[in-house]
Amino acid sequence: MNKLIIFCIFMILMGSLYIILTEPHSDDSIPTLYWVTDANPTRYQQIELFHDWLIQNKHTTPEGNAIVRIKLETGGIDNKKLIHGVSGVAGDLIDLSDIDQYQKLGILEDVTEQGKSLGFDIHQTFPSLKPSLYFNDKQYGYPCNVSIHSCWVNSETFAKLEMEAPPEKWDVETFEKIGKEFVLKANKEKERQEVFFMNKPSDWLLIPWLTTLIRSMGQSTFNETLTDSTLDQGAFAEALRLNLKWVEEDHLFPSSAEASSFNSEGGFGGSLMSLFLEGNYGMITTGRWVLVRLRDLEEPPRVSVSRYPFKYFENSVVMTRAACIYKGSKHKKLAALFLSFLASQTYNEQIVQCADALPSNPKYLHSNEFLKPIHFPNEWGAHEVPARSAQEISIAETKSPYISYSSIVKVIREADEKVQNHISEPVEAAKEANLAIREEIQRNLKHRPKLKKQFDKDKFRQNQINRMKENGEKIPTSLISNPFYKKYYNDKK
Amino acid sequence: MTKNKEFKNTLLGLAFLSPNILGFSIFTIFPLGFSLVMAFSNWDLSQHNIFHSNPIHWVFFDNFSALLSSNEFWKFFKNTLFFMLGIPVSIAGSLMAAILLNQDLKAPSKKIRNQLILGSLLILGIIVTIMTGLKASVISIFLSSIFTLILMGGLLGGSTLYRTLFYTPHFTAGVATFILWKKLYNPQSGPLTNFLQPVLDHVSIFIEFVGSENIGFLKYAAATLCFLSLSYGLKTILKMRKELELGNGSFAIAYFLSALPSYFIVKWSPDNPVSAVLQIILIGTLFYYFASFFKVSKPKTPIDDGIGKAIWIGFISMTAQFILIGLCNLFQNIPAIMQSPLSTPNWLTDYNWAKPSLMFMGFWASIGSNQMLLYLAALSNLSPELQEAAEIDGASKFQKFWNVTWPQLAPVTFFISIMAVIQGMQGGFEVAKTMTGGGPAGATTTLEYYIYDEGFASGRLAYASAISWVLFAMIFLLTLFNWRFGNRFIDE
Repeated sequence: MNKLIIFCIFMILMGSLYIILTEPHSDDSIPTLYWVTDANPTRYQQIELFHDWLIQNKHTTPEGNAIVRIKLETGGIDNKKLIHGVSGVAGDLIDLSDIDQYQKLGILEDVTEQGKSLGFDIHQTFPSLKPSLYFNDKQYGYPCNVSIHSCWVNSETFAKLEMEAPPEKWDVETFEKIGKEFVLKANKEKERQEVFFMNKPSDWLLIPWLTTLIRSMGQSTFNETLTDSTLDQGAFAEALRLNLKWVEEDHLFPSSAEASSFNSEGGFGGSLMSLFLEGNYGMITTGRWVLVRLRDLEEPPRVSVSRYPFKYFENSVVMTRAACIYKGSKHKKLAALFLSFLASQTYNEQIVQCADALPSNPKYLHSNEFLKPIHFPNEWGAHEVPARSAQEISIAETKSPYISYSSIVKVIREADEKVQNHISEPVEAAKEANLAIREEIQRNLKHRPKLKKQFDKDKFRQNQINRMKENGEKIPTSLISNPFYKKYYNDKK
Repeated sequence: MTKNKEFKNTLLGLAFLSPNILGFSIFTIFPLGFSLVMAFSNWDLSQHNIFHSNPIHWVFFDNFSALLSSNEFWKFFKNTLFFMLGIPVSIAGSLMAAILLNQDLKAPSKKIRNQLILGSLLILGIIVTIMTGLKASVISIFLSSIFTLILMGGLLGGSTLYRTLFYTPHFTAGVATFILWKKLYNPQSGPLTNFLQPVLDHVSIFIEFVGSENIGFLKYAAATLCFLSLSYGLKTILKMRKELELGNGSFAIAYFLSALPSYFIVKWSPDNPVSAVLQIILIGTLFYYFASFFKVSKPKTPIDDGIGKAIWIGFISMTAQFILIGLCNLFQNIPAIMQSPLSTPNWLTDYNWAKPSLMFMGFWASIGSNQMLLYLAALSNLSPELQEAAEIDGASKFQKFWNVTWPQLAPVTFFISIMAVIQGMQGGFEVAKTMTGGGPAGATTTLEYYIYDEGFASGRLAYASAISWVLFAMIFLLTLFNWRFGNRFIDE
């Protein structure tokens, strides 16, 4: 027995020794940045480019090596980012799509000054993204890429049915009309419906979809000063009603059950693409990154892009995956270099080439490499649509400082699920959602005197706005915090 | 032994125990105490973390009062209780599995074994033919074949093979099995739908042939049976009270459980003369037995005498009535349901089906779990003398089980019940996170999921701690109740 224990200890020691000896040697003189991001293959390419960019721009050691190296930390689901962040052990660079939530936690470094000096401030990206990157006029991140969710159309599926691909812009009525015709033709002589006009926007895709519809009716999820939910004002209920109608009456989208039987996943590696290519969906709602997978095919199909349908105010939701610097990082200055790299020509050209959404800097949207990629003529004509949307009609998501974005998403998703399951009528579900958000705001204010103080100020501003609206006066933009109303009132002028 | 040596021994013992005590103190006792303190504060990650040093305030019972007045908390509590309704079924299933696995199933001779194998192959052929005829999918035929092959395997390998197979769910990683079940529940191409849909098609044809209106008349039969179940339950407990088998408290519990379905019948019944008559009969019956209770002479007995039996009888009567109410409702709605052909539900995405679907999966997992192992161990330790004595007395198989085996298994059942209740109250997170995300519309969110959501998604650590401690209090009370009355049940 003793011999066995000694043998086991010996084996463990030998194993440890082997691991130490075979571990690649790290040069301690060069610091390492950890980048918390998604598991996308292009990230490895981007790391190499960053290394080359550092050398080209003379950010080197006396020996001529890059002054910093980057390692990826993938699989950073949101809750993990949150817990690591508040515990002081997060990566140096964190990719975030909801900066406001993490800024509230105080875990993000203010990069306003570096943004100006190293050239990655708001002037180097889409102006409509400002509410997503700046809080109290301080910058907390820079976009890795920019997404405009649109309907990506498989033109060949439409051609087979002798139908024109949908137009770039369409109102809800046209969307319905074309959709019904498509579904009817595509499922003719089939035992059960196998082809749908579009995948049903669900999970994280549901929010930009519903937001676009609500905004197209001149309303938003919050009031002008973000102090109160306005989900009960009619537009949200109408959007929920339309979503239900398009599933149950018009059969343009599959129901949740039909969608789950397709086993589709909307993410990068999901099977949504296979269904799109097979013709089960005439179009899919996604971003430009859909092309990353399409380009891997031997014969990618011809694609076109249509904006999300609208009622009367045309708009699109601009979103970003932005890189932020962790406040607890030991290498903040070096991390700022990475943000500078994200604004550089090298990085933006790589985004243009690999099609991982839109480049962070809009000046690269006009190049021929972006609009007419030489190896992919099947995409010609498609790129202009998201580019135009981002520059002309895009508005950042509406987020309130008084409630977390994840709570809003949860409430909106639950309202849609209630309607889809016939638990509540759309109007009722909208009222319940409105109440849930109000209660959550009150709950957040209860034990936070600072927030309450700010809330009271904003509430006062809201009363001013309400009076102006009653008197039919023009509302100055300076009074408005909600990015939607800033653009809406401005465009209405 | 000298005092010095005793002291040395104590020190030595403590030295050996110290790694465990240290680990337990740091990783269990300290977090537990800390979370209790936290529950009375306003600790919120957005306000209090290593980068935000806002002062933490004591809010005393604010978190508790907020959660007890929150609709969400009660909704998720009800979901948790709903899932726990499966506990008796899973215990009964584990017991049945253990009894089956306790048999020696290996064929006694080579000749019989060969005959059984041939018979099984024949059955397999018949199953495949029938399923092909029913246009079942390849996967359904494949699963049926696997099932038959397993049966055959048992003849060759004996109960060891079955014991291994039954225990498989327990040592398979949770998430992997959840994903597998998600595939099984696929409403279009899942084996469950593929298996059930042809059956439902034939049921549709049958109902059409008989006439949905005629089937609808069966509701009267179900209603009558429901009334009989109530009467039988009440009559039994009244008789037991008369014979001093039950105390007043035990009688009250059994009466309450038996009467509970009547409340829901009154609440759910549509406004029509037939249901009005049924309601009057049920309420009349309840009053009759209530009045009879006061008429019978009640010599003094301890208030909780026979509580174990009372709970069992009340529970059985209640379950039977609920099943019959469900059937009554089903028959009532048959004409409306038959407007379109019968189809399988959207298991995981339908608000009303998501919970039962997860519950059903839970049965599968728990029947072959440690519960079954405990029963197996207990069965192998039963006293053979008692069994033989019962056999000599001419007891039937059921009588032997009910009067000899079951009482001897009571301590194990008691232990399993306590553990199942604790696990049931604490469970549901993994499965909901993987299969439904807590939806649709919060239908599968349990208290455990709620704690995770509040603590790690919303960052309200204090509130999450308060929920945890309320959950602890509930589990503690339930366990105390189980301990107090369950022990009595064993003694009885």
